[in-house]
Amino acid sequence: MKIKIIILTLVFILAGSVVLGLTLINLTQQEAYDAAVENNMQFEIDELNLELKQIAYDKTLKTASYPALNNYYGQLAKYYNPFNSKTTLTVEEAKNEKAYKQLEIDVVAATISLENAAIGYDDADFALSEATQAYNDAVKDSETTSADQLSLKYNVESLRISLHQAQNNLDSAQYKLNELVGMEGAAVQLPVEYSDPYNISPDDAYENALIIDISIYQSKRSAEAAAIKFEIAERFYDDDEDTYISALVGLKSADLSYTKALLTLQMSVYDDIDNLKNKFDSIALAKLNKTIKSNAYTAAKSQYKAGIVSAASLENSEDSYNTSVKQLDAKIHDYILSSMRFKLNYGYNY
Amino acid sequence: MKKALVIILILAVALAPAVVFSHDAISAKELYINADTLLSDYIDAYADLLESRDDDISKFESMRINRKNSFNLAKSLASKENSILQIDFNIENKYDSIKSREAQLEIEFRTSYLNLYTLQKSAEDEKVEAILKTKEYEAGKKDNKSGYMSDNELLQLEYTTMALNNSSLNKERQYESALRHFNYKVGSPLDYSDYQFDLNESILEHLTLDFYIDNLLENASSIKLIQQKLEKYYIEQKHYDVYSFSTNLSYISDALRDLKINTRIQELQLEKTKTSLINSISTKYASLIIEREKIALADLNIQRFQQEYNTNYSLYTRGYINFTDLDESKNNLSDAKNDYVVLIYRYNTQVKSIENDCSYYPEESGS
Repeated sequence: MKIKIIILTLVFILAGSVVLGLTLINLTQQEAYDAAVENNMQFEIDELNLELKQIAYDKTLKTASYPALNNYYGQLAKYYNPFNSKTTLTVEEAKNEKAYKQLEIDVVAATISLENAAIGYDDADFALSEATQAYNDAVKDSETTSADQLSLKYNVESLRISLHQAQNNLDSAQYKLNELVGMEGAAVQLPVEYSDPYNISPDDAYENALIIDISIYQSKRSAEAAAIKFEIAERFYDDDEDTYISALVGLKSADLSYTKALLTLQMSVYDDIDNLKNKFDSIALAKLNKTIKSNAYTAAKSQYKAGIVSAASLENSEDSYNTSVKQLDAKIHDYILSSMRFKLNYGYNY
Repeated sequence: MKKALVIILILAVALAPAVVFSHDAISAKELYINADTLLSDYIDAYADLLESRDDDISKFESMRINRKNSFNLAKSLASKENSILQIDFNIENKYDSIKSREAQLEIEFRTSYLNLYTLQKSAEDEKVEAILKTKEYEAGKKDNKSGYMSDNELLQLEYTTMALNNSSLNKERQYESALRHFNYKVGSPLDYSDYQFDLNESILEHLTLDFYIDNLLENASSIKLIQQKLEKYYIEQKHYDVYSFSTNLSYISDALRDLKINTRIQELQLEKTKTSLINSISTKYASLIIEREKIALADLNIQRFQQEYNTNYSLYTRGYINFTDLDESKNNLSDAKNDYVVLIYRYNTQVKSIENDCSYYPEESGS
């Protein structure tokens, strides 16, 4: 019901925009996410696949409910197959659930890409207009040689291609976002809040990850399934020694895989925390850089008014300041994305 | 007719290596493509499928139809029709694999060939620079003896000479390594002692995006595979619709439910694949247009350096500049011309790549 209301609201916003001749649809992060959930075709495919897995599981359970033959294969059908089928079903459910959460990150990532592409386009457009102006001035100036004119023309054409490329990047980024949320000209608000990774307790994060991580669940269940298989093979050792040996090898291998998966997860958690800290620290550095550039720009403005520095020097200061703002935004966005991925992968909020 | 085609195909595959190694004029591209074992496997499998087609069909035509009840009859008839259909699907898919692999190998070859050319040129340029620097160093040693150059300056010169010689050797080894990899793919070593790479080509004109998208939707193997699955599901449904039977029996209701779910999954998958492929080809097409524009820019660059060279030549003949300055502008012009040729070759490779993506083969369609 809630989703329907949101969709209807979006439709009205869209209709209103069309009437007013506006091209952009501004969405909050939550609105964009809800629209993306509604629009995602893969979710329907995943749900149908889950239904098939549920059917397969039910069939296995039904087969297991019949009296089993008292041999290795009969016991496998009764105990081992339903266990494995349940694992497959649970993994599928967990993957689907994660896919919904992943979509939230996809929307933010697509929005950041769009914002970067828009900045790239503005820069390319500015560079082209500057170069075009220089070329036009040179054409009017009788003292400029034809070789220099040709060189400037080459520069203009080269920048025109860069602008074309920037336009392609912008179109592509906008298309990806539109495709995600299922509407033309979507503009999504980016998150601005972010938390301190130094508050993360690595041990707690690892404990959480153990519960939520799908591959750990799979490895654990594989080891347990191998133990069931081995127990059955052991009971029929006299009938088939080879099967017993094979089941023993399978059990050892599954145990080792589980141990390895635990260690890999632990390493990933610790590495990702370090990575978050590095990114968080680089935000502080970028903030300092912005302050320095801001001070320099303020000073340059006063100096320009007093006639101490040239207009070109003032323009350079302004460019440096604007670049520092973009760099800071990029660092913050990069950190926010990494933080969202961390929370999703390990189920740990900080 | 089909048997004749099979014999021709088998002969072509069997004689290919003999033709390749006995004919001097055979191009490196043909050697590269003919040496591919995966392509040979596809050709063999395709020939086998064609040869056994009639036998395979007759096997299914004489298939026993289960008439135990109307559901089994419908299921059995659907299975028969789909099995016969699958025989031609397999032949069609294998043929598509051959065409796609051939095109893919040509693109791979062109990429490797361009890489070899670039490495060879870079190694040659670096070698010339190293030789010139070594001469400068030898002259420097004499100057040092005569007291015109300090020990420290000579040491600095020795360092830059050594660095350039090392870099030159490094480039040469990179080229040799790339050659070894290339020969490994070709299957028989070529003599590259004074091999002249020829990248000169005329510009391939690309077609419209709409044309590529139409071809893609009609011929892309990923779409075809889903459509084939769907066609089989629809046939199964068609047979179930003809006969009436009770759906109270669980095995019947289960089969009908599974068919419905699988059909829906494939329908959604088809829609999703189409959207994704159109998006991907549109992005590639946009890059292609940029590459095409870069060729025009490279042409302008040639004009620029040609004008510079003409001016410098005039200055040189009147004694205003020395030969080194004239030589530098000559090199700039030569590099610009070279960039132009490389850009066309790279652009043409992209055209071939986009054609392969949408399973469009101009040679086959006669255009």
